[in-house]
Amino acid sequence: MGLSKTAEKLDEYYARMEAGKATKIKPGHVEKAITKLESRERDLLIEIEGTRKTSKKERLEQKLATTRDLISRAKWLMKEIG
Amino acid sequence: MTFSTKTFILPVIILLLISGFWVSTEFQEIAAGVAIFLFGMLMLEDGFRLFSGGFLERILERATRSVPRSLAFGVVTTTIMQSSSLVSVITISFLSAGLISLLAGIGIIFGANLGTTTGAWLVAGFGMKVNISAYAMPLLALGVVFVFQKSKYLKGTGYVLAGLGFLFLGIHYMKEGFETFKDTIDLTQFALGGLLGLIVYTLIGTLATVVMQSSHATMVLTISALAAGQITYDNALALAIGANVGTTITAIIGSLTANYQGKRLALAHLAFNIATAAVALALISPLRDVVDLISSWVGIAPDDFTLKLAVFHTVFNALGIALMLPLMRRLIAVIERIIHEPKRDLSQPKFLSEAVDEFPATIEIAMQKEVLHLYDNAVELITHGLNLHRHELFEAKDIEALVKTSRSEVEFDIDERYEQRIKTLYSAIVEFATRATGRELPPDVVARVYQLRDVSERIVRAVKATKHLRRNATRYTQTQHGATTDLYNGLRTQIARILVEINQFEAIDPEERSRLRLDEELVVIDTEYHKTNSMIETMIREERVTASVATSFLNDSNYAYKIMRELLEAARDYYTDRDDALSEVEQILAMEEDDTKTVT
Repeated sequence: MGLSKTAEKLDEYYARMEAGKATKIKPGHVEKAITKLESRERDLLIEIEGTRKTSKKERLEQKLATTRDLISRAKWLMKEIG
Repeated sequence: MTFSTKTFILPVIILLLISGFWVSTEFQEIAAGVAIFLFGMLMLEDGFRLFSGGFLERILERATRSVPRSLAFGVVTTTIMQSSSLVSVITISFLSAGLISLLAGIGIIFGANLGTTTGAWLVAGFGMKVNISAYAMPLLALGVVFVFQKSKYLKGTGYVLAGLGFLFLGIHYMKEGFETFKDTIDLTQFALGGLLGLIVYTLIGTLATVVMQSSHATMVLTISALAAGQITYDNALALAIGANVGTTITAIIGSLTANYQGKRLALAHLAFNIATAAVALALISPLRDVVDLISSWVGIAPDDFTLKLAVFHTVFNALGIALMLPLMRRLIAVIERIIHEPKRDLSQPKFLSEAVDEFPATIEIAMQKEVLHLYDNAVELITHGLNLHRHELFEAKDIEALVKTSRSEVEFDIDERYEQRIKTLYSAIVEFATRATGRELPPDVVARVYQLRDVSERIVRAVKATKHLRRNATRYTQTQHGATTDLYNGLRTQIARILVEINQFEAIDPEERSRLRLDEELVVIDTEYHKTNSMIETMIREERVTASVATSFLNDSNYAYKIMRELLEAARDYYTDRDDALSEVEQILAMEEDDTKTVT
């Protein structure tokens, strides 16, 4: 999980916010992003369940891994801004 | 050698003014009053333009969801801004950008016609009864202090205050001029009665408004002359009718740089005002009786002709709306028959015109729509470049199978198509972005315009990569070349899949959509790219492909990867969440190029 890049981007965001060039992120915004990602995770699980073609299944599983990675990042972000 | 009417207008006006100044000093005062008044109008418009960084546009978007709302919006905004011209220009701009419908646009213009009559009430009820210049001075002094402030909104407030100050000062000079004028010359000797009077003074009112481009100025001039007893009440009524016809000139001029929708709106405005004027002229006697009746109800003295003129102005505009409102859809049908929608030329920009770079919201929306237009053209070129058809692709259940069976070459000149449908549009987008960002715009709008320009650059890069890929992709997939055909079909399938993914992503409800979903695809294309490269090395070792074919394929694989990456990055930036904070969250979480290689 590439958290160092995410942390770097968070620092850049804080710098922009202090300069008055970025909108303040509230926990509700991160929650909304998590909700969308979790909904996508559920959709992917259903799609994987109904797929027989191996190559497609592999692609979907990789997408699921990415979504889960993003969810972990979002949860980390929630802790950071909370 | 040809001379236009325009060539003659300026010298004629200057000659008339100079002759007038020479003959009468009072005329100088009246002319200066008109000039100051018009200058005030310009300042007022500039002031309100500075407030158009989102506030005005947000209201407009919400206020035009139905005809009554559009109508009310036209009345309220024109009453506040005291300029139907500004409201017309905003409406044409929004219509050209595709932000509002023609029906809503016409509703606003109808409402603006009624809203503009409040000006006559203000001048007749307030301007003629008090020493208005006493209010002008503090407004001017305060306004100038604000004008020199750095903040855009304070500056806007300054322009509005100073604009009002100049309006009041202009009214004062016109009033004074007519007051002293009556001691030397009696203009009523030029008064004309009957039908001839009605027609002549209507034409004078029209002409005066066309020249000054402000019905407000004509009305103030008329009220001032009427208050000073220099024109008769009947002639003043005709001047008011004429001013209504003349005011359409602003919308006509504004529509010259607008698209066909803007031109339709200007024609609707002209039709409405001419019809209203015709009805008012035909029903002048009963209308006078109605005005007298209303005036007595609201307590206006029978000899207070200035206020009665204001009543007349409102009554005949309200009558026009009442008559035309039920005919609105029919009017639109007729106008649509007169001004046709131009045949769709995919190579020409559809939304970028000078009319839309007036306001920040129209700039952003027009850019967004034009970039989408560019993307549509690019998708057509990419699919055809890969010998596929969009409609088949977007309906396909098995993309891999479709690609395998699509072996015939789609015959077209890719370089020519690129020049026509991509390069021309891209140049227009870059030119528009440069022009727009050269204006004073809110920082978020500037950032979005630059972002959209970069999105279009990515799209262009994807198309250029397709041009490189096309030759071999066609050569090795039209007929069987064993393993090489499979390799190229693999590349075609991957690109086709990305096009379908973006198409499906676009169809998701914006509230449910997250650009992070496209990160999944970025990871997939990275993995497949590396898999393909390892596979080709194995194939060379096993002598299933020659080194020369393998080298070409590796180059083409790079082009394919570039097409997919550029398209996905373009879509990620294009579909940025409208909520700024949520967009920040997504940007922080988004996968960078290094990340996409590590998630497996």
